[in-house]
Amino acid sequence: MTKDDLAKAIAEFLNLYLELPWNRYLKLSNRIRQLLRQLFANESILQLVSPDAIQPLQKYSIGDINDKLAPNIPAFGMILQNLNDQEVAPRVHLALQNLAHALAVQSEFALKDLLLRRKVITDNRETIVDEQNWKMTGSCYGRSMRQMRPFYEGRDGSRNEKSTDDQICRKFYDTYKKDKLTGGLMALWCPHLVCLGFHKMPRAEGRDDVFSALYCYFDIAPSVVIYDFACQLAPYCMVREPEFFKNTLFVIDEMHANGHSSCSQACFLSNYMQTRPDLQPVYSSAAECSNSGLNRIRKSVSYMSEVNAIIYTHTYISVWNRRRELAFQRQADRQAELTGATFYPQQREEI
Amino acid sequence: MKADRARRGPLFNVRRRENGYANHVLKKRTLSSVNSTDLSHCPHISAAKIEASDLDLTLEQTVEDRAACILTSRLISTTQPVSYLQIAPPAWLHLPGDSIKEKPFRCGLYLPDLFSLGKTSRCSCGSQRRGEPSDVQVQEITCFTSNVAIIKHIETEYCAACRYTKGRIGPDLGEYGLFNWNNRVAFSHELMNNYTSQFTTSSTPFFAFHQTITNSYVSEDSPIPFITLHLFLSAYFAFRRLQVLETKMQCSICGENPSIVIADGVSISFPRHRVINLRPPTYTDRTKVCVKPAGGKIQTPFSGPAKHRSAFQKALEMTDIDRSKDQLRQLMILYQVLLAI
Repeated sequence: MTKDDLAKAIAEFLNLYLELPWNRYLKLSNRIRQLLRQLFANESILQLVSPDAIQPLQKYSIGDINDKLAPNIPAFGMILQNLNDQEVAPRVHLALQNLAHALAVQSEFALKDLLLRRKVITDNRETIVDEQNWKMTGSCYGRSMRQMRPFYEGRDGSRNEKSTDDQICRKFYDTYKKDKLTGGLMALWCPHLVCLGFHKMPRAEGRDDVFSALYCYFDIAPSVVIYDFACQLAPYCMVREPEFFKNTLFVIDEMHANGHSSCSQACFLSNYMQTRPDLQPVYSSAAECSNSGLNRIRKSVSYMSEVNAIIYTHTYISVWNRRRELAFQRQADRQAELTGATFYPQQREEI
Repeated sequence: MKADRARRGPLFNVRRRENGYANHVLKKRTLSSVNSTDLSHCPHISAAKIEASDLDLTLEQTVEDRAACILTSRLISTTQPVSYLQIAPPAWLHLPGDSIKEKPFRCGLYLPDLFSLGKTSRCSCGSQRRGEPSDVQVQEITCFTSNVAIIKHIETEYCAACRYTKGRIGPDLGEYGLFNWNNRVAFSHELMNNYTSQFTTSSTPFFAFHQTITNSYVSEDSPIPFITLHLFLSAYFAFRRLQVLETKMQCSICGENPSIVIADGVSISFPRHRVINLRPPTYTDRTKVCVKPAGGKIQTPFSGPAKHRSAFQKALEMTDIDRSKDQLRQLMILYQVLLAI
């Protein structure tokens, strides 16, 4: 199975779409079109077929519809959902199985290629920053640095930093274009509006900031990373640390999805929400909401020295987190009151 | 007066400039020591003699060089506050896991008239009490609160280890809900927490808060006006360094390794020319860890040329389905060879 086989499978699938009377099979036709748009998107195959989706795809190619297929590849899931009791079902299944097989093989090849061709040149790892030094470094993630970010030969460096060759999405960050100020603040949030850490950026925000924060401070990569520039973050992370990020889904939140006109549905959180119930209640704009609160300190910080700016920002975020934690406790107390449970506040764990 | 100033050297002016009001108070109190004619008991001279004997002069270093070094180390801008013990988070942010708890200040009604020296007393240079107390003095201390300044008395002791000859050991005052700045000036924790509450709730710069408190002092007919903005700013950051507001940066629901993370940047930035030690996780050192990742471009599902892919994409994006399909059929004929059909 080669790239040509995948191209052939895509062409067969496209033929199927063209021959399908869309007036009669409107929903199915639309779902097939969505999958085709993802197949012709200028994105990595691993964005459409994540490593978690390879096995379900392989099983489907031999006729076994796995429970994990729809959550990992919503486009497939939505077609199968609209395929029940349709006359064209056998034909669609056949084309889809061929496509599934070709996609599984090609994405597995892409992943192995990334894993096997990655070479460690120098490895004198050391923990360079400890938790207590956040006042100096401006990086506060509430935990020690797991390891320092490696230098990626051929990818990092001044030559590639300004290059836009591998940067398909042209989304712009006008607010950071203030030459006299630093790049701002990169913060990680959980869906419950709790800040998981932040660091001050000397230069404008980029994919590197999210990648480095996750890679350097997290023991296990999160299963879902929501970022307004996720379409470019995914290949950035997968190329550099495929082993660490292989089970991570990078998606753009609902609010920013409209700005990404050239990106496919495979990058949008809303796409996965259709087939993943666990993602439906996720408040994807949590970071926006919290960051709008951070704007309260923007003016004051813009006149501060480095140390004061770090302490001031840390104060704001610590207060925010404490308020969130107190809100959780109040909520728990109310629920306990309603259910008649007894609470022992002193037994609550420290956050 | 001018003679006094000249005798005390440039440090006197530096201190006045840096500490504003506090030094105005200090200046008045130390004149008696300077004017004293009996020099045999002067603790400054005896401390200077001890220090002179400890001078570690190397061949390359002259006495003048060493003196300049000591003088620089005495700059007040690097001086720490007298308070040094950890300060509890405000009651409105107290969590069950916090090890220390803030006591209510109650407008300072229950403050003692005299703050005595204790085991935890310390000088701003960091040295603690050693052996028997010597040269214990009782002096006035102004406690700045949110509404009014309260004048109390404090016991202080001469600090022999302090290079800054006016350094005095004083009590931490944390147990009274006060932040001891320099044994002459103290701030109530509730004043500092008040500012924390203000700026985290709404956009409140230091100046706005300072103005509000200054006005409050006028309304309450405070015996002493509120401190200068510069000193309040310095004191606030010194206070925040001691206050334990940190959390584990974890959500109690998501746990240590959250499955969903939302990342976003925000332009909360400070002047670029003030960057000194900033070291974000993006920092790399190729001599320590260097990796060569797989090269080449990203592998897309459709392996054909980019312009062909783009043409298909545009055709699929058309809102008119019939036109879209016609376009796709034309493209299919054109790219039949490419698609290996």
